[in-house]
Amino acid sequence: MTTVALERPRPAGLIGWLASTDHKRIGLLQIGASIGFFVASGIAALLMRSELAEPGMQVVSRQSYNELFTIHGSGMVYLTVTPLALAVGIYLVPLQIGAAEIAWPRLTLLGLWLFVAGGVVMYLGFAVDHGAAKAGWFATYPLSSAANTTGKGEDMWICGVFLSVLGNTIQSGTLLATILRKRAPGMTMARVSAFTWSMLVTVLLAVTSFPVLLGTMAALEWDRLHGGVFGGHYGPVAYQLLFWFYGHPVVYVMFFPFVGMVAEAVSAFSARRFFGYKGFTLSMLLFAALSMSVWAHHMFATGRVNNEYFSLTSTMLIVPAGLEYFAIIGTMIGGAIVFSTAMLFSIGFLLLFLVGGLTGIIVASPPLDYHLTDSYFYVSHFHYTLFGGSLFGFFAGVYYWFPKVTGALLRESLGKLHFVLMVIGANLTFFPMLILGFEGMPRRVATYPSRFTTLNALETGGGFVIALGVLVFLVNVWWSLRHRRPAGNDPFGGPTLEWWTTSPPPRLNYESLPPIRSYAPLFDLREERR
Amino acid sequence: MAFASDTRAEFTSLFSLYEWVMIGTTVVVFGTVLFAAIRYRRRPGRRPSGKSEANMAELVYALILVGVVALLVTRTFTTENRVDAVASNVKQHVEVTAFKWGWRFAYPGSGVTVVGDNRRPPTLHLPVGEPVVFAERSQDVVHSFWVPALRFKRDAWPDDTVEFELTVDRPGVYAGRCAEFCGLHHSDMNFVVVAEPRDRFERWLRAQ
Amino acid sequence: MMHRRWTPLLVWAAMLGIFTAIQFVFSTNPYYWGLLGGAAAATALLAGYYLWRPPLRPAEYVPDSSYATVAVAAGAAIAVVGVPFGPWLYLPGLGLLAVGLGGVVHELRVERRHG
Repeated sequence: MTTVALERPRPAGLIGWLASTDHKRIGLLQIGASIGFFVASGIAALLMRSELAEPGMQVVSRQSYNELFTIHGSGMVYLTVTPLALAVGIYLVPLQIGAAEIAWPRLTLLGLWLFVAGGVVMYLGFAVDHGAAKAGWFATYPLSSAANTTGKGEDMWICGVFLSVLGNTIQSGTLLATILRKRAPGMTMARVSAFTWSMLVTVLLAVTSFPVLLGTMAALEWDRLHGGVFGGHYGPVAYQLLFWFYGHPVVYVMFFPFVGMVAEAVSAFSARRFFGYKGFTLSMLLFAALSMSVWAHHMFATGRVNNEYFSLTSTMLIVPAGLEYFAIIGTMIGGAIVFSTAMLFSIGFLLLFLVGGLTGIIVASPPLDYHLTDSYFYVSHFHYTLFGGSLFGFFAGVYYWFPKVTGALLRESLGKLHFVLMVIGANLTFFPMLILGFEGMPRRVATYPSRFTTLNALETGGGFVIALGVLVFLVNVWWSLRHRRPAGNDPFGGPTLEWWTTSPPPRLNYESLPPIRSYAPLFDLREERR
Repeated sequence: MAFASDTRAEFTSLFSLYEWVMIGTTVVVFGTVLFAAIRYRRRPGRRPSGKSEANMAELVYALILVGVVALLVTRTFTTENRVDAVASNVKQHVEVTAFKWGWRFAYPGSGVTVVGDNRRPPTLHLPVGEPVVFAERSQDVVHSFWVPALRFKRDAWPDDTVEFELTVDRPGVYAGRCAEFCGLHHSDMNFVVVAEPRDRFERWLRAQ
Repeated sequence: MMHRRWTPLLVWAAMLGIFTAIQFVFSTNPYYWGLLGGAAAATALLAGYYLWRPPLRPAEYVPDSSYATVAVAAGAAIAVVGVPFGPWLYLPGLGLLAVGLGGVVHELRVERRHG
């Protein structure tokens, strides 16, 4: 093992946190910033849902509504779930592989601040003439051209997206280097944990697709300033092909780490080593490779792409997704399951993400997509995957790892209340959307025909239930830190390396390491001692 | 189905296959998860199983999944070939032009044009029971021509014309919407489709 | 086989290559094979990089903080936002970026001296 020493003693206080190159601090700051942006995007959503409670315009103007949904979507994708997905890896991966530090810590820190700066720039758009960006989170061209969307808000959005994604790309590079080069002796790639495998495919997706977004945003800004890039024949189509080459993999970047978190939580709370590890790792690679190959399925209704190839690759996603479910459910079967909050969120993940995944297979069929795309059916699909999937997976991870990170246990009673509110809120908000979309309600509309009122009102109610659930979660975090119940090193009997060290871990993570003979080294140790 | 390019019928038929697969999958997965949660909850004296793989079962399962993919893809491809096809011998044509924030419908050969916008949505008259070929374009940004009752939409582009063929098989009045976000009045960029028998349609055309 | 660090990368590059090849059954659009084939090639290059990369040095010194890095981030952000606004914004941004980069170089030199 390489010996590591510190340059100089760590600075105290706020500066010690903001300029820290400790991956644990960077990870926590990034999680905190992501949750901050999540609350801001959530408030935008509540304003949207308040407007949509009834037909007609009661709460905001049409232009404001367009800014709100643009910032809501952009905030959730660029400023919440993507940085969150990387942050959980930045915190956990070095610990899980037995490393003292992340690779290239300065670059990792750079990624954090580029992301935060990007978010600030995007929101500052509200302060300029003509308001914030209003061309949607993917800025379709020519709508996003200077002629069709005036005002610096849109340019600031482009800059904010560029900075944020640049930060993400840099961090993906450092995480990749960490996974490949900083594993402890004995930890071969075949012994790496399920979560770290999910982070590996995540960063592979990011390093190969995010640079395309950077180029596309630079080109879009050039077009807004000087023209001549995406005008002309095929230009608008080229914009979408380039954008979605990033735009599809990013949704998997926003998903895989949270599947990994669920896999580990289920393993710990079923007291069983993770099932079907070989099939799982191979299917993760296949899942990621397919997700790079499907991107023009966002363009089926354009009439200008080859629908057959992209619907073939999109439908093939059933195979690796099904194999992942096999592994996770297989871990539950034959286990001794404890219904902790983490386990409840994991079960919620399995059931809610299923709805998202299946609706995704439906829209992977172009003749069905011709009706359902750009409608509320589609809005439901991506909210079930992102909210019911990624966010539930994130909460499963929080309730599992919070004690390791802070040394204190989260309250189970508040946790279960949080879970119940989220399940009710999610289904109340997103299930009726399936019906509305089918019945002909397009997405990104500020008003609708009166026959859609009841379902919209239900959805608005659901949105506020979700908000209540998030509030309960934040109260739980604050309360559990205020009135600490010490967790100890290993409160749940976890299978992976990080449970060997103290809670929270010391600056260089490990004073010593146990022998590493499989992907569940602490289970092995416990079995040996029995 | 009775007519080529009856997109509603094609959608309904294909969707029912997908519906069955989805319901079946949901029942199996929900059932298995709930079974596992109940049957394998921790009880005193229970030792978790040490088995960590089931390769034969997994392989069989993977092959079943591949089979499901093959079924869905083949039905999708054959349906799409019919839906996307534009026949060359179709009598009735309509030119659709989308703009911020309304629609222009032109009937080539008759000199009739109907225009409307978000304040006064236009009406698209169509002959019922026969295929109609549409040539669609945009004057500015990308819009999308959506008739939910026909289960079909197609984007309108400023840099090219796209063609598609639709058949309305039942007379009636149907809602039409713009389905590609196009700016300030996207929410109100609607139109109305009136599908009527051929003779009534021609009478309407002559009256314009 | 999976225990070599670059194997997952090669497997992934091969998968991307196969999905690129399948495209040609349906279309030869250069946007399709250019993007996906490019990703396959990039992954293969990454695999090659990790194949040839020399092993880690026996001792490493780790920084505990880097103010210079924060300056780099701030400078880069201001420079980027300056693009639509004009030189009055992007030039100071570039200046701060340069200062930050200088600071990072300095930090690395100090570290290397101790190592």
